[in-house]
Amino acid sequence: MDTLSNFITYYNYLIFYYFIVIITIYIILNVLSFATLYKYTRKVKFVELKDVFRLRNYKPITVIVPAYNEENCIVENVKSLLQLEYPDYQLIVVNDGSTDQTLSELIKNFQLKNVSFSPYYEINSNPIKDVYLSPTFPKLVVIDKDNYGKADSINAAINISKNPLITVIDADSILERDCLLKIARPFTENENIVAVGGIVRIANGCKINHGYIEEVGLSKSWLARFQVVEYLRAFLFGRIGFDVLNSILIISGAFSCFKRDALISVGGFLSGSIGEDMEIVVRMHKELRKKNPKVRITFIPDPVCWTEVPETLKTLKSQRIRWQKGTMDSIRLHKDMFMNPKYKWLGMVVFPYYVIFEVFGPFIEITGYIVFVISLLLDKVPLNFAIAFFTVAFLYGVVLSTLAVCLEELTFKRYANAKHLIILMVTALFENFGYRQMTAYWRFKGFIEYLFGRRTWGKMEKKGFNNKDTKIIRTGYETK
Amino acid sequence: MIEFLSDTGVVLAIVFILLTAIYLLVLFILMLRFFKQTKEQIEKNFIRRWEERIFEYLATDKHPVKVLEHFNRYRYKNLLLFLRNYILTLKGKDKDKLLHLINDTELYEYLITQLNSTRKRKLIFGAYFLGLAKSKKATGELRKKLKSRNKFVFLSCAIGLAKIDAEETLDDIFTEAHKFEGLSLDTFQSILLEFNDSICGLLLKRLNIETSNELKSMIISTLRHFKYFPPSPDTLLKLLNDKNDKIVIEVLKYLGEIEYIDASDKIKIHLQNPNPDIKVEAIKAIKKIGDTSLERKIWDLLYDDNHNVKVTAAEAMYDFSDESREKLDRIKYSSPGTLESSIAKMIIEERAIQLY
Repeated sequence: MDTLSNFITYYNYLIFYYFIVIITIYIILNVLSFATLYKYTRKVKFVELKDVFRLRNYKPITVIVPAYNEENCIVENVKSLLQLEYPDYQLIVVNDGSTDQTLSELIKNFQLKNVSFSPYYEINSNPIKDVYLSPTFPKLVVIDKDNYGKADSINAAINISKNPLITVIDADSILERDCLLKIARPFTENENIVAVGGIVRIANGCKINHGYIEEVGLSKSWLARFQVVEYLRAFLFGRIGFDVLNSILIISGAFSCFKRDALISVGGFLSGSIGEDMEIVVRMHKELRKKNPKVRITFIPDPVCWTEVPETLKTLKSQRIRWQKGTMDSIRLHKDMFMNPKYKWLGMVVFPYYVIFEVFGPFIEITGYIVFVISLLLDKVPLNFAIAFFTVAFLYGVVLSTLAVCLEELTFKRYANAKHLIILMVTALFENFGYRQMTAYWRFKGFIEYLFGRRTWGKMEKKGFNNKDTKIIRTGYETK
Repeated sequence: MIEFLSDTGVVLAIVFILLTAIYLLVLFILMLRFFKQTKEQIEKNFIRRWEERIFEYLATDKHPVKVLEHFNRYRYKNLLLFLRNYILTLKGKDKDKLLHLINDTELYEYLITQLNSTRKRKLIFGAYFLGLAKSKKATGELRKKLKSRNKFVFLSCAIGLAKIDAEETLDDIFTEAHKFEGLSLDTFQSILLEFNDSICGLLLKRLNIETSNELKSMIISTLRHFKYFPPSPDTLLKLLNDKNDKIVIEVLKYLGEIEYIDASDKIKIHLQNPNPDIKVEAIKAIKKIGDTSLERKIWDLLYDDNHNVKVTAAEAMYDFSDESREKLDRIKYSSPGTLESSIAKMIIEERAIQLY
């Protein structure tokens, strides 16, 4: 009984100090992000940069769109992708063995012709069955292959891509027209940059016209609204903060850009991995820094990509479980980076942060709640302390979420409607009561499932942008 | 610690601090939004009232001073912001009339006051609008402000001078640019592009004395933008041997753009350059110049280690001549199953489909 009692006492201390440490980290990240964004947005006004974009040494880009069962949105999205502003780009759509009409829709709408072409496989990927080109849209290449998942599709496309920069996007991502100009810019400024990620915003509730965001709005679903605040916090604070330390461990698979050479030299995306977008970034840090310690993976804070998020508990749960497994998988595969001084901030601070707060975080949090309740029942913790601790924790969560909304209003101001801004602030308040605990529980479930060997992808249900009443059921090609 | 947090006074203090922080943040966000919307509303009302008057001014021979009669000076800023959109979109006589409205009225004095303000934002505003209005008479004032230690003030004045097309200040702009570390290269490039193409001769001279590699490459890309054909290619050909790769790349692009056939002997040396980006630009330049005597050398680059060099070489081979196109086509038999044949096939298919 004494052992149990001691365990409970020490566990409570662990939770308490865990909370203190995470508060400190978030404060530091907040400060770093505020400073970075302030610098980023302090540009000279009234400068027209269009000619400059054309003149500067912008490298040609290949945009890769892996698609699995996207018949409802693929045509509209490809049309909008063909209208991006960039001097020289190629668009490769990979039909990853779709069981619906994705390929036939593409063939019909873009007058595709099958060309006799057998690619040379610089990196491993399953065979490409057919390559299609369009006489009307010379930028467009469509490849057809059997279903081996997103990573394999990207690798296949890399094998036939011809340009030195590779941008990977999700088939249902909605991009800003100048997104390629923005994401390619860091490559011209620093030749050590091998990958760039962009901010992903939530498209639920936005008015979308021909594949472009016409008006930014908020979904009527509270679940989607909670995710808006969550994404603001994750992108505006988390990633910008880590970027300052050149320690970004994940760039969103919904919109990311890589140097082709760098991707080839690390062997491309890892087929069969659960979180291929995180895994590739960690591997690039690991492999490329050996050859060049100045290698940098960076992040642009401009809102360039919009994506749909789950609006049902079932889908959100499946997504969060998968994210947790993806994080754990990437961390496990590269565990030798943990506390490795060779990787500087990344090895000594950020990687341990991910292990403690992202991998074990949900476990500590959920077991913390349980132990806390037991402590209360056993009278190991005074009731007033419990109330005080939870009140402080919740209020601190509200402060962080409100700060994220504040940063958005200070910088990009994408929510033009005042009503939406007020809803966002209310959401920032309520997000901390129930939603965060619920997602923590799902991540905890992912943690347990990963530990006990269930390492498969779940199903992802998306509403689709073009057909508001129809729900499309498809496997998860959706990314963190 | 548990004891510490069990103390009601301490807890209440922490809770109070957090609640205050939330309250202040919410208030701050609401205030930001309130100011933004109020500003937008003022601008809207302003436009509603002034649009008609401006069109009347454009349609008649009314003197600009008359237009501004009874106009409140504190609304000048709104008026200028309103005029900006018209100045940027209108052309010819209408645009000239709008420029007169700024240059021949109190608006000019207002802008000079702004330019001489100690507040950075006002100064930048003044510099921008004097440039937009092409106020030649403000050249001296803007030139003085170029010497500011503030990067943004310097850039704004330089943009103003460029818009005015004050060529005589070019050397000052370059000299002052040297003072600033981490100067936005995109912004500086946009300054050079604001000038008229008559600046090219001066830029070429500047190229001879410029010491900064970044500024040199910007000069070259500006010359490329204006497609300026230099009277003597010596400076450029000399820069082809520069140690800085970015400069070499820019010169190659430039020589390709103006199709400078006499340079192909010098350019061909770079087909062997260890930097793949230079090789790529050398291939492109030769393709643009159309020197088919270098076909063999470009063919060899199809077997380069770098993917981008291979692709560019294959594209050049396709475009050079019918013979080189056939040679490219034959690669699928001579070296089947290789990366080179894969690239060649892709390029051929890509081009062929466009003729479909």
